[in-house]
Amino acid sequence: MPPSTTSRSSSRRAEAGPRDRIALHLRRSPGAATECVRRLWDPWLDPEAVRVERDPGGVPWARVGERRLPLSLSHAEGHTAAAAHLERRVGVDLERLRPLPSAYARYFLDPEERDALGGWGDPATATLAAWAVKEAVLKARGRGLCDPPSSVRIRSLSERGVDLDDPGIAAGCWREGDRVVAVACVGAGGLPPVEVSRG
Amino acid sequence: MSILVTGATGSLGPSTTARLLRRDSVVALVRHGEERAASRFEVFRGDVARADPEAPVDRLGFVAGDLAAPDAGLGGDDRDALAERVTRVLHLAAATRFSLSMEEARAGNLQTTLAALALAETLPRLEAMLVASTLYVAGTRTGTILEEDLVETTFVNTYERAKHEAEREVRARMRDLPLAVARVATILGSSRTGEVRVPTALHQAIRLAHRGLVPMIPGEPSQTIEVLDAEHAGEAMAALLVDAFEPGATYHVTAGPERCFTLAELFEVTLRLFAELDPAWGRRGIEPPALVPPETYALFERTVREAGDPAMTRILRGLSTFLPQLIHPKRFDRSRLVGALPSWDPPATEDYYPLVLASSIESDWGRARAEASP
Amino acid sequence: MTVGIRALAYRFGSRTVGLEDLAERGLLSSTPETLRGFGFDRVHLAEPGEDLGRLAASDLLREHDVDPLEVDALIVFGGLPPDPVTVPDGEEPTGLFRYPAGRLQHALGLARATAFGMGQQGCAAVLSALRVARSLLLAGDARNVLCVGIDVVPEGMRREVVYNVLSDGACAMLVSTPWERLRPVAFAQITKGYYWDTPARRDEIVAAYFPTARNAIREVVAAAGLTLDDVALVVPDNVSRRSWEILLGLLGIPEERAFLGGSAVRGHAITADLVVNLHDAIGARRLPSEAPIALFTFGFGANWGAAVLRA
Repeated sequence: MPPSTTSRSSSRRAEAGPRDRIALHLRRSPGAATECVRRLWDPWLDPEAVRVERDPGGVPWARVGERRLPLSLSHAEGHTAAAAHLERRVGVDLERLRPLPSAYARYFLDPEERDALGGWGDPATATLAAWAVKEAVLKARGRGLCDPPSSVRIRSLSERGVDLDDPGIAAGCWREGDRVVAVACVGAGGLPPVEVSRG
Repeated sequence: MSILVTGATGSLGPSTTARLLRRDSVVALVRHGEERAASRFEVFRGDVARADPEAPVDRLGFVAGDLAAPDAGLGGDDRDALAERVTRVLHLAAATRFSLSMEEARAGNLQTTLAALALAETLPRLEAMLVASTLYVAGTRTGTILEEDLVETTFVNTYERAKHEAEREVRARMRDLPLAVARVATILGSSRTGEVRVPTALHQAIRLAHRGLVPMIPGEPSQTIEVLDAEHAGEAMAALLVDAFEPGATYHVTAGPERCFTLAELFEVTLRLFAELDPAWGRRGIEPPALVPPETYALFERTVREAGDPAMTRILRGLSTFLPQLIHPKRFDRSRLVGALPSWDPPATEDYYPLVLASSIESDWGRARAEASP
Repeated sequence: MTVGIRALAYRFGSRTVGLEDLAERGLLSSTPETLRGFGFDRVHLAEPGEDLGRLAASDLLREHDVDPLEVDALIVFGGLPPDPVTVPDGEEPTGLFRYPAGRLQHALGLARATAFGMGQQGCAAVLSALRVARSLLLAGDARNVLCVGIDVVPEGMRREVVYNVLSDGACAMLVSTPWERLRPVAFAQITKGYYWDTPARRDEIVAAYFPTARNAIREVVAAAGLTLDDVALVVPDNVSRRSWEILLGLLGIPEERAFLGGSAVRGHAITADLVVNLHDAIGARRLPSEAPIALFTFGFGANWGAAVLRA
């Protein structure tokens, strides 16, 4: 599912869009979280006003004054992805595209899941993509890495869409240059539009 | 009449020379080394006397020479004297380090054998020449190895290959010269004193096990580790050359599987003996190396290589020239040897191994001896 | 009287960092390629102030509906030594006497629990905690023992130890009676104090690791009245996958019967590994009731620890 994209320059003066969307910002330098929040809340927001904090459970939040918004962050070799939704909890995982030995697949994918990765189109990186989806889902649930990977079951995986066993959560996964990005969102009704911006 | 011995100053030299002296006079071909041949000979004569206090060392002489040099590096007078006196030759000279390059191994084993054969041709009174070789000309073959076998195969180190090539040359000359071959097992040490004259790769492995630095060894637990004590090796060589010489014969000079440890027994017994000899060592709780399938050992070797761990790399490199032989289990048939020497009765390894270990520990694995020697 | 593991939980540090990032920060000794070849991919670092032990224990109590007042004993363990304590000159050294066990007992509301610490066993402390918990329960001194393991590497310290890459993590394990599932039926621990000075004996420890590990696992399986073929699943710690491939080769156990792969996605969280993998394996492998599960870990000190559980 190729996400809709928004260039940085064209969004600077845009109004905040529909509420049911995921803002996903990717950048190499610091500030991904701030930019994500600005795109979601208010593009005129002073970047200095945005604080990123973690609750006692380690979940990141953006705070502007008294307002808080749950965030999801992922770092991979100097790149950062930040994702958020105004009303639903979101999870994101960013990975450098690389082969993950299929031997690891047995650790976090059952046999049916391993058979379901054919839609990804690249067997060498399918395991990694599956891992990114599971991590994004675990983050969206607010549990992060303290739930077993087997608690997320993938029915099918391709860049056109990800099908999960859990009807209460939706996910997507795609290649972004030499990275793979996975996004998950809690709530029924499928994955909202993902607006990707890059800095 | 005299017996000419090459390589007399090597591992088999003193014990064999001592037993030859009981049968005839002996002339040792001694190279000039860091010291002159005469000085080296004096040291050698002392070694012979120590190997057998009753050997008549007054019958022992030497000529200065070098099998690597033209005409064996012999002066004209010495050549004439040898031609006049020598009736038997024992060729022991070899380069036994497993880590030599192929070129070095051939120089020290093949070329020296060719030179010894050339020298033998200049000895008109020659009645018998015994060439020392190794059981492991059998290389990576498995199963029963007969004494008459000399089969082209692969080898685990350059020494095995060079010795195999040397034996081929000897076989080719058996029509022209009175030649026989003695393939000698690893000399574990003296059954009288425990002394290890020349440590082998096996001794190195045992030393590393003492330090708790051998994690695993590839091989079948039940395979035999063929070893022999220095005294009986010397007696067998002397007897095969003088008393029971048979031209064209090849012998496996080994104590036989019934008298030797299996691989599993070797390290269990070794560590038990270490603990008995030194209770403080025993309290360390050092484990015997695990005996593993070859593929597991190969994975471990590969891991050490990839990790670049300096200590373990050094240890495995030292073991790599000999351990691979353990995954090619063999049984060395000794029928011809037993027929030639029916009363030869070497001791079981377990009878003298404690002495060898005690001597090795006391001498700090030969270091104390090396530091003390002139 | 049956004793079993009633609940498991774990937490990792919330910052995920790849091998290349660690190398860039000078926190590795080997190259990322080498470590990736050995089975690592990323690790998890705690943020300052992230109270992983409390989080793991709280998760356990909440998710398994455990009343804190049911807990009779709290065992807090770790592979790393406790944080160094300094007391300003001239001051009464009461500052030396501040213990994580007490703090956690209070923070979790375990008002009835006695609390103590366990350590000096490296990664193997987790099995010792389980063993002591079981002993307390069998002795009738408790009905519920909460074991919490916590390991957070000091900021800036290298993350690689003998080709293993460390994560920050914590685990919680509730051992109870009566409880029929995940029953510990045998323990084996080989302690060799000769290797106490880890840096001085490093090469000897590397050499001793495999043969002693094999012996410990053989010993525990025999103590459970089983053979290696009977073991339905080996639950490893998350040291390098490569070292587990070698060890399984020594034991003659096929890799399919081991829950491998955690090193890549979790890193080596020292004492939490076995709880993490046991927790995840139960969800992933659907073992039949009473299936024998073998656990093994090695801890500097040096300790080779193994246990057999019945699923």
